[in-house]
Amino acid sequence: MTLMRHLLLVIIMLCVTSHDVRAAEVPRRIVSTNLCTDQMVLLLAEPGTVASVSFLTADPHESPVAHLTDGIVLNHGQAEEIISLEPDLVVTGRYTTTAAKVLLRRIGYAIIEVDIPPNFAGVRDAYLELGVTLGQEQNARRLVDDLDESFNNLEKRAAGRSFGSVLILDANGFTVGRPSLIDQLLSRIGLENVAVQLGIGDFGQVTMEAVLLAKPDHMVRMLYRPEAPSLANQTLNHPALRRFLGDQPMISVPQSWVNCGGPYLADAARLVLDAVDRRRTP
Amino acid sequence: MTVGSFASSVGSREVSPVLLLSGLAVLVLVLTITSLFVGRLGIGGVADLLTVRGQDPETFRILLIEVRLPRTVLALTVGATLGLSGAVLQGLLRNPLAEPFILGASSSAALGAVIVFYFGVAGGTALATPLGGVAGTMIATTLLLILGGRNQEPLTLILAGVALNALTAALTSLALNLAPSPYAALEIVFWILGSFADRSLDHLVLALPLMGIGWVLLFSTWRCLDALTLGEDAAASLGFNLAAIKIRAILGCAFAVGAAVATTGVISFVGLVVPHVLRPFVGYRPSRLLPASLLGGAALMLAADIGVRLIDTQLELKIGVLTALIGTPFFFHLLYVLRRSGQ
Repeated sequence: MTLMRHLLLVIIMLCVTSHDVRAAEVPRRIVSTNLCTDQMVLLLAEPGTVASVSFLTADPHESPVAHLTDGIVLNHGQAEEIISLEPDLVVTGRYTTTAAKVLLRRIGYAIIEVDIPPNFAGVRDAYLELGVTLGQEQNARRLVDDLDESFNNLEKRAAGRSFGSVLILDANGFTVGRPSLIDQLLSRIGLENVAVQLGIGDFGQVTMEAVLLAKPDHMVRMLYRPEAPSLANQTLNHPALRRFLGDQPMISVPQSWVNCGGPYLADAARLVLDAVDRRRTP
Repeated sequence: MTVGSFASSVGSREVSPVLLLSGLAVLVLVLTITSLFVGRLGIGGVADLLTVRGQDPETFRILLIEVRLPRTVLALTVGATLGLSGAVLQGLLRNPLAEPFILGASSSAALGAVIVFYFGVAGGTALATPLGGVAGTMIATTLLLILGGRNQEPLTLILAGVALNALTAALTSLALNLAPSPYAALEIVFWILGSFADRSLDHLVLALPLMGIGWVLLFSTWRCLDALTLGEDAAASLGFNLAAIKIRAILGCAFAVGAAVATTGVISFVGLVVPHVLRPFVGYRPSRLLPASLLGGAALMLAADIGVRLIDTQLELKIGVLTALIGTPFFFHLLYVLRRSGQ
């Protein structure tokens, strides 16, 4: 792990140096095709240099930076669309539209794949690295420092206090265990993730019975289009759950804040901490 | 080819109706208790459950009444519905292969329910979804009876069912893909394979009265079904109003199957297997087959639902997977017997 970290640092340093030499090569027409890289380029790149982001990002249910997409062309990650946008840099996720990526690379487009590891250090590194590539290193550093500071403040607030256990319960009974960014987020604000005791990995399903038997002190749901009728959302409205929760409703966090590792994690953490804090001291 | 002539190739094992029905009732009772107390944890879970009862009676009550009870009662009543409607359809159409799933009545119910549930209706209530299922089944069964004509050949009817199944499955998929909900496209698995997982008392309260209406209508055909073994003309000459009987059967299937499918998705083959297994025990009398199939369907469904909870898969198996694994070999067997007996 440390070796990787060092290696990354070396790569970043190399990029920094090369950046200084090739200042003219800062991309001016950036195309991003992945929800999470969209968020990164919109927050990092110089305004006006983002030519296109994916259609998902324009939807405020999906992305917290939807308001930044005004006037930006939306793409669906298809090779044809991207070529017609004449990008000088394509930023995408590791698992996004693989076939299009292969095609674009063969034609000779500059493509970088960003894969954010599920931990805070990984988020930090990914933002810094992309910041360097986009010629916005200072911007990136400010952003990750802000994120660190927010979490340090939250940690200080939570230090030495116990808020009990929490279970993320999402549509269809999905929950988040370990290792995951959300699990780290919960630990940092002094909450114990019940899903870890239930043996859930990064992502898994729990039955209504398991939820009732685990008896978490708090439950958090990720709000994602709750008004659209679906069986998935029905599970969150099960009478058993309503009776179990009583007068303490679930804490709702917008899903878009935690979809991607990034600065909005701090907003999610603050929201959860505020809610459990209020309950503890009525 | 009628159920009557089909009988001769199997042989009768008739037992007294009282003995048969009380035997089935005991089986249903045992399975009901098992279903209430055996969760996903299996027999070991019972001990855990009793510990919870001692330490935390409130959680125990919620678990039993809000989670396990609706699941168990739905498995029981949906199974009974499918068994009963299979028996009535086989008797009415004098076709050994008739049942809600094969004839496309179940998938039509799913289509009706899906359209209402995902797209909503102006001022829609929770009751709208089961009623959507009822409407879907009603259209499908009416269509089948019109298509089938007077002397329904078994295979003509089955082919009509195949066509109806293909059409409604495609339309259900289309509706789910167009639905405004982000989860809809994934939920097709529930609608085509069925599940009792996480169904609540809310669902039960909506579905039960509709299924009840369906059962009454289906049972009201019992006298005529015996006469129908002699053919439609004979039944008419005995004073039965066949048009009225058919309408009652259509409405009965629509209410019972429509409400069942709208609540738990399409569950295949139960209506085929249950009447066939029980027919020799009732002396091939369609009327006596009805209560037996009602109880038999309930027992089979409860057993299958206990099965999907005990089979250790990461995500709970959909119940239709299990019933299709039991039902399909049975269907092939019936086709084989049909061919051998000279069709």
